[in-house]
Amino acid sequence: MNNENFWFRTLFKVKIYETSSEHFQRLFQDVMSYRYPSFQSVAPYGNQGDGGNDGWMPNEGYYFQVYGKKASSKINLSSVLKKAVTDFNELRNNYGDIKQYHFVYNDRFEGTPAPIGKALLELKKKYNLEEASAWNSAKLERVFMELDYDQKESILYSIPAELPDFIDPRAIAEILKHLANKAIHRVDTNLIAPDFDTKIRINGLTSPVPDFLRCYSYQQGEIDDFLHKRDPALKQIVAEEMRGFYQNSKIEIPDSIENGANLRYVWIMEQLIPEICKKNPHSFKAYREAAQVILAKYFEACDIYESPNTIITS
Amino acid sequence: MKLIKLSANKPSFKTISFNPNGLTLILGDASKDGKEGSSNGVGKTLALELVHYCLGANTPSIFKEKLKDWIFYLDFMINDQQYRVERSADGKKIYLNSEEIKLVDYRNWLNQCGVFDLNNKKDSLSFRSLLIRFARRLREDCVDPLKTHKEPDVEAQLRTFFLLDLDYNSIFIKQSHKKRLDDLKKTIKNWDDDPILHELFQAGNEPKLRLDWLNKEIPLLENDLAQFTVAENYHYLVLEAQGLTQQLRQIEKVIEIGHFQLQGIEKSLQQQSDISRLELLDLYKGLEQVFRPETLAHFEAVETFHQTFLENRKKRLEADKLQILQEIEQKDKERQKIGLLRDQLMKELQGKRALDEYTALSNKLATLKSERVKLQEYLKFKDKLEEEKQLLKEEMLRQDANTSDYVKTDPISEYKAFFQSIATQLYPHCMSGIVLENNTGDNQLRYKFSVQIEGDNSDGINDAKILCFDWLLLMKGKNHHVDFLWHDNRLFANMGSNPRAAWFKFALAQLENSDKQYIATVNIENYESMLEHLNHAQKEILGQAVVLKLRDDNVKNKLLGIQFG
Repeated sequence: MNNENFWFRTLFKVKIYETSSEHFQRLFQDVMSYRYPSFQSVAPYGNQGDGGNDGWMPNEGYYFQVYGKKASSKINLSSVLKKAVTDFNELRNNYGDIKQYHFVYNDRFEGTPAPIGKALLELKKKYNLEEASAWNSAKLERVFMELDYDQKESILYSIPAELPDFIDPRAIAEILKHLANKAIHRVDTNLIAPDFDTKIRINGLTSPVPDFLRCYSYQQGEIDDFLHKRDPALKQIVAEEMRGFYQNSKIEIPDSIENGANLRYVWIMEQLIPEICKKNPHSFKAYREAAQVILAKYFEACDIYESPNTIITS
Repeated sequence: MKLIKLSANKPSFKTISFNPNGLTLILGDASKDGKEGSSNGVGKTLALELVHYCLGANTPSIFKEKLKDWIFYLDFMINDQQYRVERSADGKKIYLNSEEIKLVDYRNWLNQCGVFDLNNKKDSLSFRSLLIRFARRLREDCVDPLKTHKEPDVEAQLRTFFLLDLDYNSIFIKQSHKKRLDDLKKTIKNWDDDPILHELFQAGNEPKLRLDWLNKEIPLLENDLAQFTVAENYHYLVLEAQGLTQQLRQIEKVIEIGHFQLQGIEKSLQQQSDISRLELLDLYKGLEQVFRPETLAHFEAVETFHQTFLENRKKRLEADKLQILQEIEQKDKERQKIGLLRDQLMKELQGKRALDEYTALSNKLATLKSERVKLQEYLKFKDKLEEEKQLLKEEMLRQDANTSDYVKTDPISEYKAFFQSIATQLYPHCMSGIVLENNTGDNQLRYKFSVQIEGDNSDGINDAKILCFDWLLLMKGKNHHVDFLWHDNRLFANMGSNPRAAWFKFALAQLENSDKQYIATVNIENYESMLEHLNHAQKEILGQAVVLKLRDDNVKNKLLGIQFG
């Protein structure tokens, strides 16, 4: 996988993890509008709602119903099943001639529960549809990856450089200030300094993330500069914040996920960027690169990811 | 040439036998009611028309319609030789001395028969155009003594001058010069204005400027082509050089990034060596205010961690620095190698160009050269036209001078005197004469030539002017052997009875010892009104001259003896 694909695929995955409900629906509609020019999204209208239709391709007779559960909530299979079937009936009542029906469901890459597939198969048979299927996150990722570079970029904003030839120190300072301001103080000292490469291996980070860590770690002088000029105590505060992010990443991205360590890297990177900075897509690239410098710094200092020593001792 | 007899194949026709010398009168008689002008239509003018018809005029459409099986005969004499022409009224058959002849050939014969000295003369002089001056047929022929119906001014002057044997050649010359000059001007203007020509030479309105530009551009192109070295694999080499340049840029970018990373490493190494144990202790102490004191108890442990961390880090960074340096070195070597290759290629390309460029250049040269040839031809032609125009203008000036000299010799003095002598007899108190002047105006007419009798804006005097001038041509004219003059009634109609009587007195006196025929058709009123101004002898002669009286009281008494017209 080249780095370009790494960034698009991983950032998209992170976005899937982060989104729920209407955000997931909007993401789905963005991807589909780029991929299929005949696709039309449907906005809910007053009491009528969306009529069981979250998006359709009128000429083809294809209909999509989108369901994104809340990020932290557990799947309630019976309510998902109910939605898949009731919405279809609503769709039939409102739109009539349906050729294909797809239930788009944010499973956060955990896989679609078998009963959903079965329910849809029954719908297909019963109403003699060409196709009735569940679209999970993996399917949406495949559709996303089929988009042009520009289209992908407009959904995810500019991706970081393969090898940065410039780091914007203002972005680093901005992120650090942000982290320092929001820090919740916790103490979890680990008193044995780890070996950089061992830590990478132990944590299961795979290409291209180790290269990023190494490469961006050369720029941590910028962080030291900032901390040195400001309050040196900030160093500890930021470290605490970073630890917090890492802990959260383990909740958001379970161990069962393939390449989970890499995903967490990108997930933390995205968390580091202040919301206000995300409003300008053009500076997004600079912030993502700055965030990686910070990640590298605190990775090396053993504030994020598991320390080899901890693992060995435990 | 004299007229002998006009007859027809129909017995109703009133044959006209012309008196061989002197006056022949054809009278048109009024009907019983005696109204003036009632003799119109009896055939006076028709008689003249039939003479013209037999002498090669076009066939009037009314002849074809109304006189289908009529044949007219004219007996005439040229140089004591008698001829008979017969012509069917439908215009189809002509017999000259019983031999059939086509109209064209008959007209040619008339041109050559010696009535007019037309050997090797210009086309605008012919039997028909000259004869009309001795027998004015139509109303329009009787407006101007010098000009007949639909006759252009130059031709009219030319024919008059021919018959007076004045300098008619210079009339031809001025006309042809002027025509040619106008043609030249028109051609030059057409060439100047012709958008197609301008487009052809891409010269706009400035062909000379374009030629100047071509004369400069062509040698430059020729020189360029002479220096041209074709590299057959030019495009391939260019592509290869471009590819190498791209590779070089890529390598340079990698080297640049390497340097950037080295800078970062250097900065990190420098900073970490600066942190002393004391600073670390200060930092640690500072944190006591933020964190619970018990968590900060083990400074020793923290210090150890920090030391190990710094050592690890230094080791790693140093190792990475070495590796990056090696990579930079390797990339630099690669850069030099590729740079050398590209420089060689560029050297190879130096001074060489692609074959298609050569072809394009050659084609452009060929196009420009061909345009230059055309443009030169065009400008040469235009210069030639301008030159001819100039020469022509010079020649016309010379002609003007010659004509001026000629006019000064007063070549018309004899005619002028003769004309005045006749006019004085008709209008004793009026000035009269003939004027000849050079016309240097920018037109085709060589002379200003006019015949004048004071008061000739009145119809009667104008008619008299024509009678006098025609008489001049009959009696004093040159280059012709026409011995008859025919005046139709319309020329007498507006004259007063006195001048009319004076005219006939004069004519009788002139004819007395001459061998000429004077044929006049007169209606009875005009005839009788002048008789009172004549003496007995004169009346006697007039009476004897009447060969035919046509009356309108009965169709039989008209010329054709049938109702016609």
